[in-house]
Amino acid sequence: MRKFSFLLLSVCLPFLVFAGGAREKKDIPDLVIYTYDSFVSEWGPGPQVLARFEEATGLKVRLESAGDAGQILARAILEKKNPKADIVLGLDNNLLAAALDADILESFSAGNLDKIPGELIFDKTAHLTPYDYGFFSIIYDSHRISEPPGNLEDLTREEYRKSIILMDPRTSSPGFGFLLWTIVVYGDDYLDYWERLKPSILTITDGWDSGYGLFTEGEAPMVLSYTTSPAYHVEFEETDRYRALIFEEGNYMQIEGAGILKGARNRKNAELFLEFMLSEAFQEVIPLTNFMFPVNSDTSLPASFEYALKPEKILLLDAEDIRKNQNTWIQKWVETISR
Amino acid sequence: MGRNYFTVRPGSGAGGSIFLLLPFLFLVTVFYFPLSLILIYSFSGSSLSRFLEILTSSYYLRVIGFTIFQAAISTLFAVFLALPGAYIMSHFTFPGKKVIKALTTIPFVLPSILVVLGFVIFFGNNGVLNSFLKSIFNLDEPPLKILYSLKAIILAHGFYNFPIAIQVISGVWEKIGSDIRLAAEGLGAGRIRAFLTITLPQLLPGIMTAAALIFLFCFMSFAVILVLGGGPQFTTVEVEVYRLARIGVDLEGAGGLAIISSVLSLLFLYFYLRLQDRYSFAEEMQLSAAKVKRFTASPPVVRLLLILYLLVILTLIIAPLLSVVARSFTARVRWSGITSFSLKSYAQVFQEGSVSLLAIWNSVRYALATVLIAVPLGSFSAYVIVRSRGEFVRILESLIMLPMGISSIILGLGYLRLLNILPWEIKGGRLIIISAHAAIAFPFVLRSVKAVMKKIDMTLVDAGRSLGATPLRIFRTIEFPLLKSGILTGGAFAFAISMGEVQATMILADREGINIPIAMYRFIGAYNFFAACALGTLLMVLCFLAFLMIEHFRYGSEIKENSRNESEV
Repeated sequence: MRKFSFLLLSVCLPFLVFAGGAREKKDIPDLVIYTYDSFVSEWGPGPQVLARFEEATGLKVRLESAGDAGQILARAILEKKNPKADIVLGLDNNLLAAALDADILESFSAGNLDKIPGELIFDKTAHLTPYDYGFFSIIYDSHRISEPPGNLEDLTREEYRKSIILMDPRTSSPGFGFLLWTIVVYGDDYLDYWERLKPSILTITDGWDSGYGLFTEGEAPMVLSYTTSPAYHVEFEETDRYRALIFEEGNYMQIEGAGILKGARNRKNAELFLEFMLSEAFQEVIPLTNFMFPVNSDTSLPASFEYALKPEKILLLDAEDIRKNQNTWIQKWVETISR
Repeated sequence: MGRNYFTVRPGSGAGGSIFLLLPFLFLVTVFYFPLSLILIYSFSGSSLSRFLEILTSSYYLRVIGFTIFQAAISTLFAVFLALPGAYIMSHFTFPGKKVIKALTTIPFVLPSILVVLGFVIFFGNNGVLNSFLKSIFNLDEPPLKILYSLKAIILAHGFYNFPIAIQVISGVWEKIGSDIRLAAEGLGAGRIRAFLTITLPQLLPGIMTAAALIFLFCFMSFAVILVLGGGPQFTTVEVEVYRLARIGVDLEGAGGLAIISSVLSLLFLYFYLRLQDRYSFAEEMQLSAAKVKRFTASPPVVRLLLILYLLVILTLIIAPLLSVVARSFTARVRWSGITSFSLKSYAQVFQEGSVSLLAIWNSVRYALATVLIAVPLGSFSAYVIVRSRGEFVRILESLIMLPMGISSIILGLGYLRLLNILPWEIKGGRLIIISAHAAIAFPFVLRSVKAVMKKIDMTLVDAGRSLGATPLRIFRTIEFPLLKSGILTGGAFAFAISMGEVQATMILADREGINIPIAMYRFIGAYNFFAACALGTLLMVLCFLAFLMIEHFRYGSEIKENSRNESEV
């Protein structure tokens, strides 16, 4: 029996060690927000934005992350009957229809919504309020490409054989955005385009992380990312080596928004936060922490954002359309690209 | 009852399995409960039709087929690659042996993004190897097109997993006496024949254990497969679960697919256990039975071959690791955008108030606590399982192994569901993070201990008992010394599994609870790949030190015993 109690003790010991730390501070926050992990990160907007909000309102906010945007939506759906948060922050235009389908959000129009250009208000039903946006883009290495492509069709040219790193639309939101981009431009012929594009693709990665990492290692001279990516290299590495491409047919847009959850316990505070989110105090943090454009057009941009280009022509698909067709689109894409 | 408790004999039927309920209860709380929550959720909807749709779609069947195929090939490759290594590690001493053994274990802790980056930096078209060859032979095109193909997947899986095979197989090998083989050779059997008919069957429990673990890891792999394979023509089940759960936010579909894949894992585990039980047999196993020779004492041809093998292995293992380390000491600081030597990344990691320091401290604490839970639980379960028999135990054992064969995305969703229905607040509790890590590491310890345990000769135990030794004394003087290498291997990997864990930690940790891999992903999310490599380097250094310590425990005492034995003779 001694062995048995030894076993029990060694199982319990670590629990005892950590039990103290687990319930130290138990103050109840005035507002709970679910968001993606890089927003919460010390390099992301989270810490600065929260400090400013708490300073302005005296309200205590708890920011909780659970992976990426898809995961926070999944979490909100799982908790529908018993929501533990007041706001979900970080759902984009591609996830909008899924969020509306799941019926987890309250409609709310912030009083200062008029500061936001109309074309950025991507949810006409006002369940999601936009806070930043960006454009997908092919980024190229100016050391290796002197005459960059000017449109999607140029990417298929022989000289770019095995030169592009893309992401898989099944596992990555830029990857999904690029697929939608080709669908807006080519319509039903998008698969033919992918057939032509195939020789130019070096690899299709699982996420932006590994794709962009391969690119900065010099594996390929072009990668799928955002038009804001060069601003990072200018701001923090003082180099303009990597540049974004604006295509003739336009670039596909991504808009990120936040919404109030149905059954939120702190509804009033949540509304306060969404209004704060559109104010300059929040918006001016966005460029250098989230590397996206702030939606409030009064916000001044840092100098490095000169390198973050905005396309003349903005491409965007209807959310309902995406929801209805995405499975078929992706499935046909997989079959074409695996052949 | 204390007397019979630790010596449940083969044939005692389901009696012994009652003691398995304690560890199993642990798994039920921290693994099966959250898992069933999410599966029930997925199935409360429409879902039987979704389930059938998946089972009958030729696309999903193809994906499942490829998943099994690549896992099988990768496993074979990793095991074959490791066999000579296991031989060297169990039969020779040479300077730097502990260091080499500790080094080869490092790949295992790396988050997949670092494996991918390390591979690309070294083997890539623009990588170190190709640049070197290009400059020597004056070529325009990279001569070695290794990446972006099936062979790159298998190579990377080999790199990632062969440490398991070396550790587990050499752990068994060093306990096998050479008497039978020598007898066979004396009776005229050739060396090869003696190896195939005597040594190989003796090693089988070790080989099969390693193979099963590696197979499961490759079964669940997906980042390595997509990136290094070159795209969607190489799609595994995990990619599809990801697609349904995250991009499509189709939780019913994801749940259905997860069930299919875990049933596959369970079936695989069950048949593997049956096979293992049939082919492995207990036999005389001795303390450091294989005569450990000084390397310099072997003939020159053997020495040359061994050195060649070590060189190849070290290139395969160390080069990608060193690539990551080298990256961490560079930065782009000039307008031209060319990288040069810099300590900027480390300054960022160690800057005042940085979360990275906290992450490092957390990682160490989680890993130590995981070892403290998983090792006793795993060893105990192995002990009971080996001494019991019957279908029931085998099924229970398959169930204990499942945490290794379940999609981490689904398990993550399960934890989310758990957090939601619990009436009290556990988010951020370090306790639950550790429990999750322990649940994932537990099967690993069980396997590595069981591989050695299977080989303990019961006559030794019986002899001890008939001489009146108490079970505790038998355990301390006979069984534990024989089991030590299995326990140490299990502990090393439990440590490593916790250090590298991403998915469960990401969901369960609050701001103060993050570990090194998550801090690393956050650097990457902020475009800072150099600082991510710096954190990755620290992760490797920490694990290297831990493995070195474990190797010290393993061999430090053994070599002493060996020399004592020799002097007595």
